[in-house]
Amino acid sequence: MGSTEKDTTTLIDVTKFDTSDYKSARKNAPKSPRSTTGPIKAWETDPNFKYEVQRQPGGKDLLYCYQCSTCTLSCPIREINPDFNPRRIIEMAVLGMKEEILSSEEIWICASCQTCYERCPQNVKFSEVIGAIKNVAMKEAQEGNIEITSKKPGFDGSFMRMIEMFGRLYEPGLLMDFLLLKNKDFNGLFGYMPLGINMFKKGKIAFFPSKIKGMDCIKNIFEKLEEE
Amino acid sequence: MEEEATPQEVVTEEVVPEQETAEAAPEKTTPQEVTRETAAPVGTVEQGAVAVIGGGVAGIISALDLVDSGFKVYLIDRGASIGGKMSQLAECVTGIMPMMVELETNPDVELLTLSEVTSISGSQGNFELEVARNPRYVDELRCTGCAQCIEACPESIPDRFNFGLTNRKVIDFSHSQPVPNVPAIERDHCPPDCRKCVEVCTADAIKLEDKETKAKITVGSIILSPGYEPFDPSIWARYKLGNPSVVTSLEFERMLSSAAGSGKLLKPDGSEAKKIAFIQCIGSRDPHVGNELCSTVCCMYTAKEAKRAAELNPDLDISIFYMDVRTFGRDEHVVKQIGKKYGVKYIRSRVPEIIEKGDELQLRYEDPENDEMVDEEFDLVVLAIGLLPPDSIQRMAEIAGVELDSFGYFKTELENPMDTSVPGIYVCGTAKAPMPIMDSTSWASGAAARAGSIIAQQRLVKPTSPIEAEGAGGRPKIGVFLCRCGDSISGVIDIDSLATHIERLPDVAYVDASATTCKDAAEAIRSAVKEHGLNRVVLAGCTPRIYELHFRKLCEEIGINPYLFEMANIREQCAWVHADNPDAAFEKAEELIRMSVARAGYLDALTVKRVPVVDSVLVLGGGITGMTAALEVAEQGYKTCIVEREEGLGGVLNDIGVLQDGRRASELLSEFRGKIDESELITVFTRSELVDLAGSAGNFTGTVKIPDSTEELKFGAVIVATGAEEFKPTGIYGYGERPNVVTQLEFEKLLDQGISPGTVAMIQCVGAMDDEREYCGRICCGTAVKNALRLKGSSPETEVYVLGRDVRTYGIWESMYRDARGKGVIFLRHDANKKPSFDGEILSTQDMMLNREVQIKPDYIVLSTPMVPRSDSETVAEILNISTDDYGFFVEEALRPKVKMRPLDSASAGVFLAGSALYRPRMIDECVAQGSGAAARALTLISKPFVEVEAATSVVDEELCAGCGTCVSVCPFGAVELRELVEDVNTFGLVSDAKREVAEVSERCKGCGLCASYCPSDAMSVNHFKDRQIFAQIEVVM
Amino acid sequence: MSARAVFEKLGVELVEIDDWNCCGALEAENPLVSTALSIRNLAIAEESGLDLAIPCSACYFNAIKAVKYLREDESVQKKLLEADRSLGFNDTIAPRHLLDIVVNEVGVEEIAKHTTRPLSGIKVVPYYGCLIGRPSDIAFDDPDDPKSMDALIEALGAEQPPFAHKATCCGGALIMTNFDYSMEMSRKILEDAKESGADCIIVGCPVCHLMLDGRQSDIEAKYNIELNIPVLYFTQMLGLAFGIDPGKLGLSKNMVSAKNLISMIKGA
Repeated sequence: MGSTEKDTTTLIDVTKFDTSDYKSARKNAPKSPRSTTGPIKAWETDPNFKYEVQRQPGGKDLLYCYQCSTCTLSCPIREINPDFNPRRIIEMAVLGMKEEILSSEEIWICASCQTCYERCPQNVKFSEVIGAIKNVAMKEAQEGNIEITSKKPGFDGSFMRMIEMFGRLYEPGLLMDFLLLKNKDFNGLFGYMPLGINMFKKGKIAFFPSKIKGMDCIKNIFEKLEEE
Repeated sequence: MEEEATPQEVVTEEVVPEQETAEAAPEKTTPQEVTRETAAPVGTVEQGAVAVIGGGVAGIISALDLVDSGFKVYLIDRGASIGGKMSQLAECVTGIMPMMVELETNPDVELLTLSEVTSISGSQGNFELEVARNPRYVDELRCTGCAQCIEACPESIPDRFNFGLTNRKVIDFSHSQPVPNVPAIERDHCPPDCRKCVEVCTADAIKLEDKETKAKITVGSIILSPGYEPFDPSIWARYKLGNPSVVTSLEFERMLSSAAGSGKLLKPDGSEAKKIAFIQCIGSRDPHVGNELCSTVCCMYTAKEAKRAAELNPDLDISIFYMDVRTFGRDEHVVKQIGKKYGVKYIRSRVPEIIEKGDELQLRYEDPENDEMVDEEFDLVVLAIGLLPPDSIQRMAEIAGVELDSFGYFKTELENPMDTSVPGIYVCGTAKAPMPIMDSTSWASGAAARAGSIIAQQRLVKPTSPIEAEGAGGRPKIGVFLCRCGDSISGVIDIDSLATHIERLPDVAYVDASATTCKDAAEAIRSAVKEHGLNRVVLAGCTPRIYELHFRKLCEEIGINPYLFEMANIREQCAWVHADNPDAAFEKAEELIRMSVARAGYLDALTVKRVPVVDSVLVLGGGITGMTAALEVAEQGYKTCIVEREEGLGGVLNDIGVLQDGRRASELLSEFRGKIDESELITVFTRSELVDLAGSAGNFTGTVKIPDSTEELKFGAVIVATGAEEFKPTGIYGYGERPNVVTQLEFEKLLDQGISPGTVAMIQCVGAMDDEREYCGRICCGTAVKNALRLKGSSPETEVYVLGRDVRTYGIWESMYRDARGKGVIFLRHDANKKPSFDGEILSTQDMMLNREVQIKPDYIVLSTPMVPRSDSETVAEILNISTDDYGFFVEEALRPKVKMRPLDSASAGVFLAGSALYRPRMIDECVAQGSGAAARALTLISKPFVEVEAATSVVDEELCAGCGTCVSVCPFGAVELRELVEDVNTFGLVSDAKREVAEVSERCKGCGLCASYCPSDAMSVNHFKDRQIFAQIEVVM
Repeated sequence: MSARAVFEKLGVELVEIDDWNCCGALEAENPLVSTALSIRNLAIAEESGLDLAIPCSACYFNAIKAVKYLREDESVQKKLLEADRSLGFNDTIAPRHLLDIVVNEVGVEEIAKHTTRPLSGIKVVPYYGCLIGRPSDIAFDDPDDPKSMDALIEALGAEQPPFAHKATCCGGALIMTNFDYSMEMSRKILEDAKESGADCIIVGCPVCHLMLDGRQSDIEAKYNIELNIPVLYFTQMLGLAFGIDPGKLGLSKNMVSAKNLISMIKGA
């Protein structure tokens, strides 16, 4: 629903040019404000960052990368946005460029297509590694060390809140929580109305939420496991 | 110009009498000595036997070295022919052919093809093997190789040898020149009740009812050489293997092979290839698909294939997509050459997918410098597939009871690289680890030495007597034999028509044009000489470089002096080089044969002198290679001397702290030193140098300078293992001025002290791969990884950076590279033109993959430098009469294809090379394998009672000789000297005891002919190349 | 809806597990939470002793990942049980994708037998998305060239033009946050399908369905193209071939109308 002009979560305004030709995408794309071009000073990096990522579930094979480019060449997101370069993200993590990675927009736009996981010869499992990096990012944001501008963690949070409350996804609640409460995005919310009404008419979504019976279990899951 | 009768020149030489032999032999009381002193040892000792399981190049070389040292070999192979993968590689088959033919005709070799070992019992010295022999359905003894059965066969099946690119018949040869040269039947594919082949066979050789049989053999030791399994990339749908324009490298070899004939590189669909892409590391360096290791050879074979393709068609557009280029030593030169000469592009990016776009194949790759992903179209993609352990290895390991290592290869130890976990069973070739042919052959020689040591007491040495030059008997009766060489000659030249021309030549008594293979030709010669009483033989076929020796031996067997044999090269020089002009090829072939016939008429019988061998070995250099060589020779009962320049034995290993398997080098060294001390047969001279070497193979005299005097030693062979040293890059990155800038060897010492710095940076390729030293040092990346791992192990908080252009950790080292990354060692890649710089505080490098500068403040900088030859290697080379390359490394006999098959032989007979001194700095296990290999080579020489001296050497007519000494100064081998001649001279009266000087030719003479061409008195001439012989050749075509 | 109807026809019992919870889709960043959610469902299924049939690729992915996680790390099961006693899974049943069950358990021959109304006259392309084949160590079909729906289409008698984008990502995970990426990715798929001459696409995942069907009109609007290509969940197509009344297959719930498509089917 044509609300992409208001869509502030991405760097590149994809409507402005033909993204099937990523060469032109590259030309017109503004440089990511996070990637500086000055020298990387090893003594200013965080050598523990790579081990921190390793400690997260999914991140343990990050160090085996030998920069072959398989993941980058297979990534559908990279095809659209040259700034999302999985191989480079790994190298930056290995070099300890913690601040740069965690505050970047790029780490949030992985589509979880698993193609990198599938093809990586060294079993680095990038789709899991980036999950680990996102975990670190969220922890750091919680502690107030960094600021995340991407909307994705917010969306994930809203999604999880719905499950925590009802055990199943309550779509209208999700929209309310994410667009309205978190982002004050009235336009966005209205933009979803036509689709929402259509789906409701076709019986695909419910108007009112209903909780599942095993809510105790769900409560336990969120209370006890989310802190990890 | 013809002469009625050729004057017979009989050159008589005295045969060395028996008692001199006894004096030269060392004191021993082994049965072997008994064999030497008695005239006919046959039957006194049961000849020791070895089973070699796997008839590829490694098995073949092992077998040859063993039979050459007096043992019997059972060569067992699964296929219908021996030859293995090497016979499938484009030009390599010419290298392996003569060896295969030699095995076929050697009486000490039993070839068991279509056979598999089903059980092994017993222990070293006495193994019993059960061999299942699958039916060939063709009787090997009766088959004449006429191939009529193949013509008559109605059914075609895809040819596995050509990877299904072509078809073969159900009854067929496995490839164009198989050994044995007998077809086999793929019985499952026979049409029901078909007996066409039986019907046309005139030799009654086809036995369709054959069943599997069992054979039992008893041997003293076993060599396992089953080869490798090529990786099959068809598990990945994204590489579109179903598309005919996507091929594996082995399929590409077959394509190159057939292109050699036509001159055009054709794709499987028949069209000509224009734009080729090679994708490296398919199935290697890939734990995801189950193979963590680097296959070692793919980068090199791709460079070779690209070169071959470009030579066929210089307009080809070739791109090679790689991750790291693993070409070592002087092979690095090939990479540069194909880039410069043919514009071959090396692009650093893995390619994970091939997209079909119409007729073309689209590859996507990354260009990190411009941060771009590029799509490019090609019309042929070659996947460089890796080498895996052979599919039979599990079963073989079970049957033999040997252990496999964690990568699935036969398990061996660093200092015993050919010994399996079962004593008496040895391994060589790609079943041990992926390796190139040149390494397989040196390990194969090593395995032969190991296997021989078990049965050293059962060596059967056949006495040989020198060949007298008997008169060639009256008018020349020349037999001319034309070989078709499969159809590589007859495909271009009409052999039958050629035969009719040849029949008309003078002195030609018999012409045979039936032979299609060397074996056929040999048979034809054998029967015709007897039947028609021929006294000269001319063979028109391939190059004498490969087969002349073989056919000379054949002549000796059938009673014709080997020097009455002449070869005309109508293959390389006619059919191959003039493939596009058959008429010209025919004319040239006819002329060449005419010349040979003319010369044959003037050939003289020559005496083949056989000189008794001194059965001991001199080992130059007491490092790990030298020590291994000495121990190996001693284990077989022969004396050796080690001459070592330094205080003690050990060489470079003395400076190395910890080996790649975690053990201390000093542990290993004391083991070796201990064994040498214990051995009664090894004498060690330390602080000593060889200052002079005289004599020739089998009979050397060496002058050794020892601390207080000199020693003169007599020995039959020399093994050169002088090693190399670490390059000290004075001035580079402040080495020599700054105390925290060290080399890898120096860093090992620091690690021994237990340092724990904050940051360490290692810089690769310092002093190598540049204008001064073009070669790759081969072991430096592995060493850096080893030291980085050790540092991370003892001091995990240290940040370790390795700055390199490529990471060249080949074979098993790739696994250590992965471990290093896993421990947090950071590898940064830079371009060769943008080397890192250091200002004393900050080390700066331009990281290729991030395309950004990275700055480090290292506490230590470790420079990885290559090994360089010893400073006096040139001097040593001169003493030994061997050559060095541009850098000073010793060079093996560079004659191709021999260099691949005999990589430890120098150009000087009797002088063998091993270890880092031989242009390829080596890892320890490779050095040990080469040490054993050189020992095996030396043993083939000294285990025989006599060594044959080349008969085609210079000879002086003392009457004409003026004693001017020109010959002495021009001889490059130091084989001519002036001696005093005392005789009675009649000039204006008799002068008694007049003294004058005349030239004397020694055994060092190689017959190069320089002296003869310079001699102003025409006193010097070369046997077998006399003026009248050469004039005859020239005049007959003028 | 259609799955139920189809399985009824096939005579295979589909027991809906009681009180299932959301698996967390691709939003659960905390792997323990994600695992726990899937394990809860699996534990409920395990009580019945039946394999768990999962119609959604994302849920399937979460379930097989959860099982793998449990197998690889013993402490995970402990942590789960500590959080809640019902989160115990003994690995006695397997999570199976619905497509896997149809093709590999029921079998293509059985499908062909029940095809009373072969789908001749229409061209169908299969769209697998990411998670039916990837990652290949846990998913059930080939990662680059999956063939299970291909086999189905063939069995149903429809024509199948070659379709290069059968397993490329539709961008469903980014539908709320980076919708422009999703649109771009889905556009490529839809256009390729249209160019190949397909009359409809079948899918195996409701998220992919949402992207290709639900947002098709948005994609058309943004790129100013016309697609109008119906997208069916694969059991809907099975239902049509089995001669089940379209009303029972929930076809009216699809955003892009399938009425035209149905009229094109010539089979008896």
